[in-house]
Amino acid sequence: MKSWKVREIVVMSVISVVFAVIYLLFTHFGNVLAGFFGPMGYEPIYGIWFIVSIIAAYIIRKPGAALISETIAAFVECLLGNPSGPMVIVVGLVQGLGAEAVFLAARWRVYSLPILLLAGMGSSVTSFIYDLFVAGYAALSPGYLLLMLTIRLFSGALLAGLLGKVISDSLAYTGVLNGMALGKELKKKRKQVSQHAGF
Amino acid sequence: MQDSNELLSIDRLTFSYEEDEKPIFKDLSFQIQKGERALLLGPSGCGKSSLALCINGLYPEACDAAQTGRISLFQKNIEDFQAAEKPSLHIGVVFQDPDQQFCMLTVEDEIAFGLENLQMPKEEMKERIDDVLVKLDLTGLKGQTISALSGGTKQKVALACILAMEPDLIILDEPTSLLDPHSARSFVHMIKELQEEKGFGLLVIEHQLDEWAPWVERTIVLDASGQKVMDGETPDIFQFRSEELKKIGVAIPHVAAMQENLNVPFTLSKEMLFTQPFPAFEEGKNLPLTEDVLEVNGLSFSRGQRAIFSDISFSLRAGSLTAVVGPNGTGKSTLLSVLARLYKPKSGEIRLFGKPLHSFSENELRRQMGFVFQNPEHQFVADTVFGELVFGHKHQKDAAEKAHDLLRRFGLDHVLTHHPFALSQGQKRRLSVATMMMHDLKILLLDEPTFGQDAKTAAECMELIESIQAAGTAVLMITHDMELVSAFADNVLVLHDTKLVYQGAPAPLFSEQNEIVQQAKLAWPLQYEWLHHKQQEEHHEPAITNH
Amino acid sequence: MNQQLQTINPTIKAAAVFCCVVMLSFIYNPYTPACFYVIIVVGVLSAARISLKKWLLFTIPFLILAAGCMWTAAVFGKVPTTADNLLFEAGPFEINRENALVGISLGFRILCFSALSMMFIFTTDPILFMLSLVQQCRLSPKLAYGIIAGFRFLPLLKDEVQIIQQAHKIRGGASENGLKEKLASMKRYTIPLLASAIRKAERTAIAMESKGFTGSRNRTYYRTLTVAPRDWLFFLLVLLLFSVSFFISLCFS
Ligand SMILES: Nc1ncnc2c1ncn2[C@@H]1O[C@H](COP(=O)(O)OP(=O)(O)OP(=O)(O)O)[C@@H](O)[C@H]1O
Ligand SMILES: Nc1ncnc2c1ncn2[C@@H]1O[C@H](COP(=O)(O)OP(=O)(O)OP(=O)(O)O)[C@@H](O)[C@H]1O
Ligand SMILES: [Mg+2]
Ligand SMILES: [Mg+2]
Repeated sequence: MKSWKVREIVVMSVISVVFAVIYLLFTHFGNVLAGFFGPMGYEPIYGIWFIVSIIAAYIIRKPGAALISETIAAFVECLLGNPSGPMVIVVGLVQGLGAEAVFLAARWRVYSLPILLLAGMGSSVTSFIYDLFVAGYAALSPGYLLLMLTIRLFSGALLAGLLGKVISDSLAYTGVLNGMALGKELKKKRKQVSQHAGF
Repeated sequence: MQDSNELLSIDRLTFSYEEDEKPIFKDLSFQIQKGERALLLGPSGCGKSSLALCINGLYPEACDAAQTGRISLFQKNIEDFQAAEKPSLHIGVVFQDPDQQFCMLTVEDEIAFGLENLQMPKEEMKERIDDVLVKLDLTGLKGQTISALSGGTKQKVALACILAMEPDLIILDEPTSLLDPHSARSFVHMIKELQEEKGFGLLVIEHQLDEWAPWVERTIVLDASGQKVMDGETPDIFQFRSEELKKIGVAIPHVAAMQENLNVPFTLSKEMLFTQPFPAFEEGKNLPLTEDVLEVNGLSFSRGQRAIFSDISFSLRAGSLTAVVGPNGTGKSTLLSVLARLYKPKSGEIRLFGKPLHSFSENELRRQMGFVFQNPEHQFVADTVFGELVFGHKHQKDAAEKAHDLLRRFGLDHVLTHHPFALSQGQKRRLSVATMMMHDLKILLLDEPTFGQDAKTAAECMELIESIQAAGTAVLMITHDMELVSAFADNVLVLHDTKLVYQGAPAPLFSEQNEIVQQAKLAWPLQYEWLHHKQQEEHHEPAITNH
Repeated sequence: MNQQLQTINPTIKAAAVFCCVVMLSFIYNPYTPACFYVIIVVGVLSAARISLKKWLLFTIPFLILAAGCMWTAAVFGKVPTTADNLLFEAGPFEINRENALVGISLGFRILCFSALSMMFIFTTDPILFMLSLVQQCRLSPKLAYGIIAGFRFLPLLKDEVQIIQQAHKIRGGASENGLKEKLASMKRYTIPLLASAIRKAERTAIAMESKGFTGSRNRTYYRTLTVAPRDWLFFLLVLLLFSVSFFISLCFS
């Protein structure tokens, strides 16, 4: 935590809080779907629950951003009244680990679209392994499980990776992120463009 | 090293938010001694709030700004302070925006937070908290959630947090701009007493000087480009350099302004002014004889169980300026929101041009009626200052021209590419008023349009309001500034304790309805205060001779 | 007995819940979670002052979820259906005894999770939980206070949405009547909402630092949380109750 500024932590935590509310809305929505279709009902929207780790990591670009933000979001969701209670914190931790692992593999230096998509899929994998054991999915038939995993991977890449990037970029455009790594990068890019235009 | 009494020293400080932009202030130098009291004045947007954050050691780090020069505290460069002994432990700032200064949920925890950072033992903390709450008369609010408090109370809580830490220097950034006149006055008196008791250094940033000028001995003035242009004894500055001050745009206390107009000896205290013979003043305005555009009948509104206002009736005439006044938290802003159809009234009727308000379509209504929120940030929707003005006017040919003209009049032409949130507090206010001046409206509702403004921009704002009034717009304006009410309004509504306790011209309110003025925590404009003073003397003198 | 649960150290409480959840994850018979569920509900309702109505209201979404899980596990369970274990046929699906039992077990597992979490949420002050994590688990104060500051934003969220809505109204934004327009405006609100949240966060961070906050561990606490013997007692009691329900289930099967 040493290299983090207080400002970065508070920003990360506030983003997590906002998304915790969104997560909870989706949890209830997912529960209704699951009521009809069983656990399969969750799969198409599963990626939305990883979005905070992508956004936080992409904006702040520090080791731990993906993991911690996802955990905070889960923590707040738990306080707001998620069905699985404190267990959801562990779920968040597991999902965050998946994304963080991808960023770690990229040495926390590369935040391109492919990496973000992979990070979303990373969360899909770890969360699936978790569900296999704790949610008792292990009791389901392998073919059904494979279908679930595939849908979840797509969902993770699109709803977390792609959507997360789109949201962060439009945020950076409004100028609120000027003090964060993403905003600074954007500023630098703009400067280069204007310099090129000048010559 | 010769002067061991030195508390704060600023040496050739230059600061800019963007490296390649013109600096906000340049080569600024001044010192403050231990226990000294000083006013920091300057036109809106000259960098006063930014300076406060620099002194506190938070800028430039917190916003990636460029800063050169030296700030030292107790003759030690603030950059050399260790983490454990941050300059912010010695310097307390009460920020301009009351929503900007809290990080915990309840009053008690918020005060404790600062003390925890000081590593104070728990027992002592408890004592300090109770002490400071008693001192500021906040004891009942100890466990309250901060976000549910009114603006004025928040400001008091912010002060309590700072006082509990017992810093050596307290910086107050426009602490009274949101308070009703009565609360503002008692706030200043409280600060005065505390300062005299504790002897901390005090730096006050303000635009409303009447309460401060008589007892804050020193005044530092910055001009629009952030240069220090004056630094000296407060009375000297207001006596000998008032012409220069007016040119810069800085307000001078009403007492001094009136004394100048009447050609009586200089003074900053009302008591001295009131010993002079009472001059003749012009009467207030009267209502124009036009038809009503908005009629309100038996309007009520409540939040949950609590009635905010009930059974209110009044009307607005085309081309009139109606002022709404009343104590903090009485429901003035809520009333405006109901009139603007943002909230549904509980009962009662609002008619616009004789038709019920709810019969208008959204687009039609917004074309006729403008609204300026109390908090300017609440109405910003675009990414730049210029974009904010032309929002919704893209198809209009002359929109850009009109926007540029407004920006120039409001002194915002140099920040037109800024994000609306990256403005000074006063600039935000002006921008929010300017956006509503883009339309040709029939009704304009303004929530404290002049707070946080310097003399020049406030005058400019009132001039614009008068000009649209002349074009036939009915204006309804909430304000805490009674001088403004008596000078500009032709109708006053006093809202107090859920009722409209007065409606009519301002002159009779201030000259005859003393009880209402006192109850509704208003104040008398200077000329009326003088009038009452005279009347009281006349009453008293025979009584004194009787004894 | 009232308010007893409220005074248990939050970290210990969380640890107890966590242990139960982990143990429940290994159980596929329906009796243990069912028993345990009854025990928790009775215990919580009597030991903490929570109204029955509130409890039921919060249980409803979990009932739906539990039903969904039960259904899936029963239909898609991995034990193949044979003539021996066939219970009944529902349309194209054949449901057998083993899978049905697992389904019921999963359903009750979810209800147990929900009951445990409601026990935790209804009786724990989140701020105290954070402080307890700092004081008992050596969580970094920088992170903990950062989270608390973010948490402060939660109650303001609703107002924030309303304010953005009003701004768009006043500034001549479109009226939102149809469902489609409502969805479009959702998109229009997300970015401003996040932007203003981030802005407020930066201000809060400035407020924290202006009060001398550095995030170092060298600080005192106004609210000190300790672990007393009764906290451990609570922990053991919860484990005991779990074992009781486990042994009851042994009697059944
Ligand atoms: N975050 C920011 N980023 C960029 N520029 C800023 C930012 N905040 C303020 N400014 C600019 O810096 C200048 C000084 O602002 P500051 O808030 O210090 O003024 P001020 O003297 O306090 O004005 P007021 O009396 O209106 O409060 C203004 O021109 C403003 O537009
Ligand atoms: N969002 C809200 N939720 C709950 N109560 C509120 C809210 N906004 C205002 N109130 C309460 O409604 C009352 C009226 O508030 P309002 O803002 O209209 O007062 P005001 O007269 O404009 O005060 P001021 O002069 O301080 O601006 C206050 O007592 C306030 O506490
Ligand atoms: Mg300012
Ligand atoms: Mg108001």
